[in-house]
Amino acid sequence: MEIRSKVLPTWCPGCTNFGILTAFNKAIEELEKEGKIDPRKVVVVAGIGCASKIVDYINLSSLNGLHGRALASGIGIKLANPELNVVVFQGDGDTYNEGIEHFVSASKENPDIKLFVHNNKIFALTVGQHTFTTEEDFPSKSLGQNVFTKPLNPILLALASGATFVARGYALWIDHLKYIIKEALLHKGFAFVDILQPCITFHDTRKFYEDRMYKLEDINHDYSNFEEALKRAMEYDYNLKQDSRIPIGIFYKTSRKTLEEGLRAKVFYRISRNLDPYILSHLKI
Amino acid sequence: MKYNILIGGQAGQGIEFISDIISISLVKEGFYVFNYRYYQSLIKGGHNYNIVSFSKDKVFSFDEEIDFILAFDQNTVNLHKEKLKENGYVICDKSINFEKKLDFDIRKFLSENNISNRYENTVLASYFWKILGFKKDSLMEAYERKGKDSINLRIIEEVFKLDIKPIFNIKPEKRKEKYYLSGSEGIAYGAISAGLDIYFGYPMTPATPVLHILSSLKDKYDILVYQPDNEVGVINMAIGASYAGAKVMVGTSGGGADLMGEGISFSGMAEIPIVIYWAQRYGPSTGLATSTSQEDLLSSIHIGHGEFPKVVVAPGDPAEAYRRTIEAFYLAYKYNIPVIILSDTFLAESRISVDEIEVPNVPIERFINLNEQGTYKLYEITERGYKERAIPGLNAIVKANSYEHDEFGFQIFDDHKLAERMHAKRLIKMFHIEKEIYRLDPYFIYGKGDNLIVSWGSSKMPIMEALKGLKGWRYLHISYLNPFPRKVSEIIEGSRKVLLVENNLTGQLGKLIMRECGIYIENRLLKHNGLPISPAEIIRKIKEIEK
Repeated sequence: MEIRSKVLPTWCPGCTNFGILTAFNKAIEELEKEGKIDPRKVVVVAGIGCASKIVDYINLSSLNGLHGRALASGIGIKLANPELNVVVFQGDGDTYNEGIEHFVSASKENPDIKLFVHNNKIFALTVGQHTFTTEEDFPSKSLGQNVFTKPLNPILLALASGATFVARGYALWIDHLKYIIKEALLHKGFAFVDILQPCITFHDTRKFYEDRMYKLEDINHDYSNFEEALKRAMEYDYNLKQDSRIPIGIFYKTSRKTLEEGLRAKVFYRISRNLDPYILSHLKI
Repeated sequence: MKYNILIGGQAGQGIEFISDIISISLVKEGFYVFNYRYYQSLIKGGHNYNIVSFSKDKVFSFDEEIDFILAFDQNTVNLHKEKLKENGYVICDKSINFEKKLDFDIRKFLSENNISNRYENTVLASYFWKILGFKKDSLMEAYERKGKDSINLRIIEEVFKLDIKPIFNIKPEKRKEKYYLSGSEGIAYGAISAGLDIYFGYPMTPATPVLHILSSLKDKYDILVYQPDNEVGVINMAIGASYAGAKVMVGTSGGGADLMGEGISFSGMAEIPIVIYWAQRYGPSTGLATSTSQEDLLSSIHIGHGEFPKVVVAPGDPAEAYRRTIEAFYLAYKYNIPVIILSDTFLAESRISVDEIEVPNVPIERFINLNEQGTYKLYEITERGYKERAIPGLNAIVKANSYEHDEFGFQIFDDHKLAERMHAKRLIKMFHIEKEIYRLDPYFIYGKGDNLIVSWGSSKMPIMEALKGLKGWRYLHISYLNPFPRKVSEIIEGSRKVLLVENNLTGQLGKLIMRECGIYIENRLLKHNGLPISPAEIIRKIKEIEK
């Protein structure tokens, strides 16, 4: 199945979001070939910002929701039909600013949905304000001075909140990102991937990342070990320090009862319901 | 003859429970009842009370004057003794001071029978039942209905063995089966009857009872109930669930509804149906959490930025809540729009007995097309403005969007011609809905006469009660507020004297009638202290107008 839609992207030429789009489409195509996913059962959900544009470029059912709220809508989709594979694309503004409560709550409640965050550490579509993951000393248009607060570490937050799959990828290492996305799609539970996605127009961090990244698989990181995951998560604090080392790959993976299992969700549209006035007999005296 | 029993005490003393027991027992004795609940926002202590009104004729509301006060503490007597009729009595434990009391040594009885003090309310209820002159059977049946605690039954047996004279000798009526329900039950059972799949709610008084009722029924009726992180999560989750094919309702009060505003606008834009149960409470901001009010009428009509179709329907009593909830689902899922059911503390918490509950003549359907292929034109521009939607997971690709979009749901950027058509396509649905609501009894006229009371929502209950004692007055109850049934203008204009009654300060229905029909109603009874309007207040106001 051709996953790429006919819509002409409105991302900047050379935007790193193309890397995420390519990695995701390849992941779906490969999983379809491997017989592990039925694209008809995949629903992509997005918030608002450059990241959210991705849903129009994907030839799958989609819900382009509100800023910060795509994750909540994604949970709703899963509860209404647990047979669907729900994939949420949000930006860092969506996830760590506007809708941070849904991020913490999804990590805690463990719905079987996937969250891919296009983290460019900036509000790009609104032309250059800082987000919660913007590094110190960044000249933000909305602050009138340089950023003086510590950035949020979403990997650490996801681990502390109970996420059952926590990973970081890089938008331009497409094969590696595809591997993470495939693992996330096959994980049963809430899978979170923070994708470093440099904004080449407002915040070009490509060289900084590429000089400092290493793959967790290369050091034989044990992703079943929570303490190890915490240690690796704290290695990079989202500031742009010269001596940073940035691990990418899967930090942590575990399994726990999912939200839709706990709530005994069903494929509700298949339930045929008729008006049964007998129900009122409960109220009879 | 109509009697009013005030049952009062501290939170945690089971006031609500015993009021329910007495109400059920009265229905079993053949009476109609109305059970009004007043409570505070605390868990233990404070003061709570119910007023249970009963009569051989239909009862629509409670009254200000009380025949019996069942006092579980001294405070109840101190607070309410002014309401006691001249021939009224306080029924209480020996320890409570009042000159016109009929008392019983509850503590002594409990210790002699070796029963825990928490059963004091059963002892007092049994004593009360005996002095009213009723048989113990009705009371025992009520306890059996509420649960299987055999100690309660033992207490009734023992109290009825004692030599207590029936003082009042109220004659029971012929027993006839009735429905007994609260507004919250009307909403919850209505939702299930309408085919509810999922209910999302974050606790907020006075919407919470619906959350509890549906949770207790979830396994029996194959529904899912979930309490998300907050109201913003609630509405966005609900929209996701509805997009995926479920029939969904959310519940909240004004503050939570404000948080949902953006989501309601999203539902309108993306044409994803949703039913919103909005239970009003007193005041702006946090207000008086457990007090009643009708302050959110205009707010509910206008909630959500931008222009999009929306229905607001306000039932006036628990039985009407049932049928309006079914209609709300029908309209939401047929037209793919948000529909708001507007209730309030007084409606949500009041229990009433009725002979019949009307079931509206609307189909229970999902309005989903399961047989599409390719990319579905979810937003096809049709003359009607609406069509059956498709859902994800089958053969069709279904793209829904909060941005302005083309017929397939892809975002548009600079096609203002298409934007204009899409905007009109969504709003044209309101013309069809306006026609459709005339099939659904958008308003009712009760009584006979040249003069007219006009109101909406829970104020229906005291108005119906007041109408019993009024000559020459009709009542126009308007249930559908948006779209507004403009035909009511003929009824208002054709009346001699007109009185507007609302549980708010600014006369919001009055403003709406001015806007929709160009009629200004001069005579107004507007109550805005957090308490429901009483029938006596309406009668006093009408005497004033008739002077």
